[in-house]
Amino acid sequence: MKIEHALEKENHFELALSGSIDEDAEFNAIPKIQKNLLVVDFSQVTMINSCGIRDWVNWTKTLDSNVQVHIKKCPKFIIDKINILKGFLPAKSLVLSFYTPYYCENCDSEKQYLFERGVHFQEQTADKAAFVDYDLEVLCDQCKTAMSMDVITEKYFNFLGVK
Amino acid sequence: MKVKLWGVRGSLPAPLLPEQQYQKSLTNLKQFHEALSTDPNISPEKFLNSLPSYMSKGFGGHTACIQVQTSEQNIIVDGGSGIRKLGEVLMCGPCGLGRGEVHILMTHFHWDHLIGLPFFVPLFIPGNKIHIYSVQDNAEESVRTLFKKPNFPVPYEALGAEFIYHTLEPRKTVHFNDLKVTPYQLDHPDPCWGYKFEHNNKTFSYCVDTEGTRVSRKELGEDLALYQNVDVMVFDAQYTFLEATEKVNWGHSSAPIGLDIAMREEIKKVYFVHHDPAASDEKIMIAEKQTRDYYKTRLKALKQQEAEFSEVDWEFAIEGTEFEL
Ligand SMILES: [Zn+2]
Ligand SMILES: [Zn+2]
Ligand SMILES: [Zn+2]
Repeated sequence: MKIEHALEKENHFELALSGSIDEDAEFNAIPKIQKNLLVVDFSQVTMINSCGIRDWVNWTKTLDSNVQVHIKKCPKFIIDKINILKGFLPAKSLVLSFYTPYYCENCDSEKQYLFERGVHFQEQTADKAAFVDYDLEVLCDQCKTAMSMDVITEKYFNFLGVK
Repeated sequence: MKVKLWGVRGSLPAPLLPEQQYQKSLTNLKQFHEALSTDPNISPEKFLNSLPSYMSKGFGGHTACIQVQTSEQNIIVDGGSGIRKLGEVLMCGPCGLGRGEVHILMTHFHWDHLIGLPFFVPLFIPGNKIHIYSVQDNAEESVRTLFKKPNFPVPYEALGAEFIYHTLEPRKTVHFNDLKVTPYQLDHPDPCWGYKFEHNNKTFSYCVDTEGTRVSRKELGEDLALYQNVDVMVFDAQYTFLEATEKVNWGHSSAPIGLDIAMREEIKKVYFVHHDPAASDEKIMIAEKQTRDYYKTRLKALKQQEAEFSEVDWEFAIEGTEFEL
């Protein structure tokens, strides 16, 4: 794992990780988070194994209780882990954006489409039901045909609280 | 080298309760009933043998004890409740005549690795010699404690066999005839030492009890050898992965962690043991399924990345499992 950047911004701390998150990941190399908001960019992470998950979870437990975690640009395998592993994210965390795989039945191409919070999805809250834009039109880069979502929707969007 | 797992339960013996026994029988009978409708000639034995062994037999409730055998040497690791049955078998040989020499390697002295000893019959037979090996230098004290009054009716001094204690040096190989044994430290309180057995170019590592907190080659340092050039490994998988992420510093691991090590170090076969005494057979089966999903995901990712890797054969072991290498 590489720390692409760890920057203290005006209102939040921005962290971007890359590569494999595994037993060699050194989370203790990340500077202490002094802001109340931590935004983690997962877009360049290529893999996470169980040791990596354990190290990530243990590291999030070391954050001060007032630090809220927002994660963005999550690859599918990160969303899969969030879905099966209660505790992958600390309480009150938010997923700001994540990739949803699409498939072109016409030419066999695949594409990862970035779903953004407030645009393509919204998690369930006390007064609002969860929302996912299942009808979004995603066109194939190769043949311009409309692609189909390539996930088991009940499983993949489960973390948003979809019914 | 032949290995037999006499006890695969962790922390406390956990026999199948009468109600669980009833439910298991009921499930199997219902399935047998169904099987008969497609094959009216299927025998009960054939049907039971077609089921996964944890369904026909269960995982078993006895705690840590294994036996490692070569043509020249017989070694026991740990004296959990699984050792009682092994004692009965040994009594059919020289131990029954007071001419037995028993070698027991101790990983550590938590009760689940010790409580079978007062019921290990060769200890009561005058003439038998019981060698106890450990890296920790307080083995005798722990064994004596087991036989203290009023906790056990027979005092240590009245045991017929002669006890000989041997302190092992960390990471230093000991030769037992044709079998080489080396202790390496695990990640467990009080502390605990795993053993690497080598015989005829085959290697077996016993990695119980451990949380597997050190996984990277750098963190493992001089204990890395426990996991390198290994054909078969027995690994602590007391918890599901989710439980293990919550039970930090409890000293036990989960199967996905063992698989990460095995995949990296190209260990050919892994048996997961030290099942949680609070886990029913069904719950252990769920942990196995989750591990299967994890393993499949990892393989798929490695294939996609076109990375080089070797597949690992693995299973959640049931009591009585035997293998040869
Ligand atoms: Zn196309
Ligand atoms: Zn134990
Ligand atoms: Zn222990």
